[in-house]
Parts: sequence; C-alpha cells; structure tokens
Amino acid sequence: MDMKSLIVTKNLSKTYGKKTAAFRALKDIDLEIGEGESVAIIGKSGSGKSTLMHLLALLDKPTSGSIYINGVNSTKLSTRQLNKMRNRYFGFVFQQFFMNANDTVLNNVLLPLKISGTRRRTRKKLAMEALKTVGLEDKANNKATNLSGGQKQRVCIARAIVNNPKIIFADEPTGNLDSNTGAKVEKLLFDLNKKGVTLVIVTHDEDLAKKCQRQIRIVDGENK
Amino acid sequence: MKFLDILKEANQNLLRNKGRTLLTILAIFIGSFVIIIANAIAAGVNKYVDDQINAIGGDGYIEFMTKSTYDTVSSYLSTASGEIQEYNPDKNSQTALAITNEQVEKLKQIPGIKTDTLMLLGGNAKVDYITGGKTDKKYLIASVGLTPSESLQFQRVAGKGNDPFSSEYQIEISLDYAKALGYDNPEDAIDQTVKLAVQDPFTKSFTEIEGRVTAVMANGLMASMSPVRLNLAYNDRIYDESTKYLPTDQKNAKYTGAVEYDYENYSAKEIKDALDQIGLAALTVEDEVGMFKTFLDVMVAVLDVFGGIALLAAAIGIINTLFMSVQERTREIGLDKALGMSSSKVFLSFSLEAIMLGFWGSAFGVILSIILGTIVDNILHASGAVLESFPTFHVVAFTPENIIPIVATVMMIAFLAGTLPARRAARKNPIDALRYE
Repeated sequence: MDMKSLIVTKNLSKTYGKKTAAFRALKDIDLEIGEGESVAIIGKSGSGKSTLMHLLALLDKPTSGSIYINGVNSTKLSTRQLNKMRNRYFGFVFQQFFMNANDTVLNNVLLPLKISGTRRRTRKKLAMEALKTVGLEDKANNKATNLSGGQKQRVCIARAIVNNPKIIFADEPTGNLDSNTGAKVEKLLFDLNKKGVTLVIVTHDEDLAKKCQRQIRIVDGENK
Repeated sequence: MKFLDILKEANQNLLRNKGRTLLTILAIFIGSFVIIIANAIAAGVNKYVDDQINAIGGDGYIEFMTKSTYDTVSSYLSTASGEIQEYNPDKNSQTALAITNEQVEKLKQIPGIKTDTLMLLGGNAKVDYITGGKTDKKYLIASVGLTPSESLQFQRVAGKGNDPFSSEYQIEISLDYAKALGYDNPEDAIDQTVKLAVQDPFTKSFTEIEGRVTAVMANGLMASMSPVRLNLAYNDRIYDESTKYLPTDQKNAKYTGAVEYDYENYSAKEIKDALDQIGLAALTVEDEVGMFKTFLDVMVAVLDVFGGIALLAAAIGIINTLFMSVQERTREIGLDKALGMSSSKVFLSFSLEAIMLGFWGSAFGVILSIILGTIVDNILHASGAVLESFPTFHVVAFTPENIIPIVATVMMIAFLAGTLPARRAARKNPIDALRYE
C-alpha cells in the first residue's frame, strides 16, 4: 500500500463467554486501513462486523492480537489515553443517532468538546462551523427531539466532525433513513472523506459498501 | 470535562424529572428540619441560660449538703427518669442526713473558706401567700428563694437587695409581684412592708409574718423560678413557723449550706475536694446549670436520633432516585463514555447530583426552621403570651456554628448514598450502554 497506514490489526480475535460457552466472534483478523481511505466493513447480521468496529474504534478490548493506531499499539495504552484518543481523533456516527433529545442541537454537537474541556466560546464556534458543514446552522437552538430522522443523522455527523477527527466510524449510518435522505447523508460522509478524513463504514448494504474505495468482508468472524 | 460543566449538567439532570427530585428533597428536608430545629432550640435555651448565669456571677460561691442527701436526691432523679437501680443500704437511705456540728467545725478549717459567709439551712421556707402592699390582695407563692450570698447578682430594677446575714426580715420581690401588689413604679415598693403567710396544719389559721422589701428583681429566668427571695433570718423565721410541730432535733437539723471561698487563690475543685474529705458534696453555680444543660442535651440527642432515622430513610430515597436516573440515562452515559468521558467524571457527575439533593434538602430545612422559629418566637413574645416577660429569651438561636455542620453532614450522607448508583454508572461499558433499549 502506497499510503500511510492509520490502522493496522494483527491476529485480532474476540471471544465472548468462557470454556464450553465460549463464542469466537472474531478470528485472527489482519487488516490495514490507510490514511484518507474510505473502507466498508460489510457482513450479515451476527457476522462480527460490529464487534470489529468496536475494537477498531477502541470502544472494546480484543481477547488477543493487537491494533496499531498511527503506529501506536493501542493495547498498551491506559484507559485515560484511550479516552483521549477517541475524544481527539475519532468521530462516531450511529444508526440510532444517540442524541440527548431534550437538549438543543448545538449542545448535542459540542458534546465531544465539552468532554475534552474546550473553552466555552471556542466550542460554540466550532459547533456552529460543524453545523454549517451539514447545512443545519439555522437549527442550532432547536431541541433535538423536534428534528426529522435525516436531520438527526446530519446533527450526528456534525457532532462526529466537531473535534476535527482523523477518522470517522459510521455504524449503519443510513440504516434508519429512507433512500432520499440516506443519499444526502452518504454524500456528506463521502465529501468529508474527499477532504481527507478517513471513513470506516459498517454496513450490510452492498450498494453503500460499493461506494467505498475498499470493502472488508466479514463472514462468521473471519476476513474473507 | 471541566468541573463547572459537570456541575451544570448534574443540575440539569436533577431538573429533568422535577417531581421525583422534589420528593427526594422533601424526604431529606424532613430529617434536616428536625435536627436543625432541635439544635436551634438547644442553642437558644443555652444562650439564654448562659447570659443569665453570667449576669448572676456567683464566683466563689458554693452550695453543699451531706453526701447521703446528695445521693438520695440524685438517685431519686435517675429513678424518676426511668432507670431502675439495685438498692444499696449505704447510699439509698430515704432520710437525708443532716450536716453535723463536727462537719461544720472541719469546714471552717478548710483553707480559702470565708467562714463569715457560712450559712446553714434546715430547708427553704414554705409560704402559702404574699399580701400587703397597696391592694391588700393575697397572691399565691409557689417557690421561695434565698439571697444566700452577696456574690450572686440577681438583676434588680430597684433597691439594693437583701443583706444575707442581717437579723432584720428582708425580702426581694419580682417586678410582676410588685405590680400585683399595687406598686406600678418599682421604686415605690422599696422599704414597704409585705406579709408572708404560713398555715397551721391543725388549726388551719394563718400566721402572717412581716418583712421589708429591699429590692424589685427584673423579670427573667431567676425571677420566674423564685418570685420572692428572702434573707436568712426571714427564711429561718418562716421555716420555724412551718415546722413548729416537729421534734426539736429535726427542726434544728441543717440539711444544706452555702459558703463563699477565696476564688482568686483557690480553685472550685480544691474546695470541692476538701469538702468531699469531710463527707460533704458541693455544687457551684456552673454545676447546677450543668445538670440542667445535661437534661437539655439528652432532649436534643433524642430529637437528633429521630431526625437521623428520617435522614437514613431519605438516604435510601436518594439511592433509589439515582438508580432510576442511571437506568434512564444508560445510553447517554454510554455515549459520553464512547466520546471519551472518563469513568471518574461519570462518577463525579452522579455524586454531585446526590450532594445537591442533600444541599437543597438541608437548605430548605434551614430556611423553614428560621422562618418558623422566628414566627413562633414572635407569637410567644406577643403581649399576654408565655414569654412576654422574657424579652431577651429567644426559643431558637441560629448561628453559622449550629447550621453549617448540619448542612455539611447531610451533604456528606447524600454523597455516601449516591456512591452506589454513581459507581454503577461509572462502571458501565460504553458498548453495552449504547445497545441498551
């Protein structure tokens, strides 16, 4: 691969349960994701694709094997360093949005900055910029609960990019949307990718996966 | 995440379910209120008693009785308070023992004792009524006091007061009695003659004995305990009258005494120890007040226990409220943690919620105690009410020293109660939390 590797995994395995009840959700996954790439992790429900994303996004710990982020072995990092890494370098987009319904759009978007302890004025400015990117700056003071599904997902994208991340993890980003609004959200994500943000999309949707530069296919916990 | 942001978020979370938050605060409030008001009353009474004691003085004044009398009185008191004691023939004689001549002689030898101030009493005079003055009406007297020493400064509004050892019959009366006897201006009562009446138990006739008014006492704790105070001669005369049918040895027996000592060169403890050597139990003014204060402390302790039980129930309420809150916000916690919030910050957020519940509960307790205490105090001081003649006595006293420790303790209890739910929140795994439906 001619580009710099952002994520490298070696013999990555995840087992749930113990002894006879043990279930190997992921088996010795070796993969590389380059900086600026768009990659689809594709597989059926229960294939282990979400487990893989959780490991790559440092939300979960592998049973064995290792993950290198920018050359750093993440299994050697402390919880504090992992928290910091997710907060500074990662953006998350979820199928179910996960927004604080009673809070304003603006407050939802600036949550990662609030967690990192960014100054009040700076975080408001950055959140407004992120909302502008997704075309929802006029909804900043609306309550999140009053938005449509497509708008909610765009707010989530704004939240994912507000910290200017190196990589965005999107878990079935269009799963809860109709095809029309889904297309808008896809366009937003790929536009961000064109600007240099690495994109990792977890999906079972072949059409969406094809739009990514590369597909990683997971079948029964193995990379096929 | 900055502390101020966490604090703000905790506050917002409390406001999210207002009804539930309010009920939890109410539970904390009830417990806090009981404790705060109990301590405020104790502080109010203590402050008043201290002021009165300081006004009396009584440096170098000591009262004494035989140890057996003292034991009889104190075991009577503790039995009356419900404590059952085994009978001890050495201590529990029902007849108080009189002070012997030998003891008196030894007492006079104790260094520091001012023998010329020594006063021995058979008992306080019992009087049926007081009369005389301008109206010639008769007024009931419940309790007669003494002016046993010039070192005791009873607050007086007119006159110089009794000479304890004068052979003349002298009396001090309270302002209320002076008015009742027709002396609207207390000065008018000075040097007037009043009569105290003792009833003969057989003939039912009254013997009235005259005395000269030397002072009018200010209304207050002392005046209400004994509205008239006699000098020794007057007291003995009336005591003799009421005990005239007793055998001579009983009539002349002395059960209590009072004396002054050189308090500049001898400590109260030295004198008490010396009296103890000759079989006499001694009490200073502070000791007598101390007994009253112990009683007050016990009352407050009982109320504190009730308040504490209410607070314990409230603490369980806090645990319950926050567990519900953790359950409801599982996804939010998951998102916060996925986006890099540390477990300790999650813990802090929920702990702050608990502490704020404690703060508001006790703060409302303080506010209501102050309002209610002030209203009740005003009602009691209104004209014609119980405390009208005690303008300096306030039933409740609020000082930072008696409020802040209670509020801090309640906040501490709330924090401890909050640690259970806060720990559960902090331990949530972000993936499981986000999957939670």
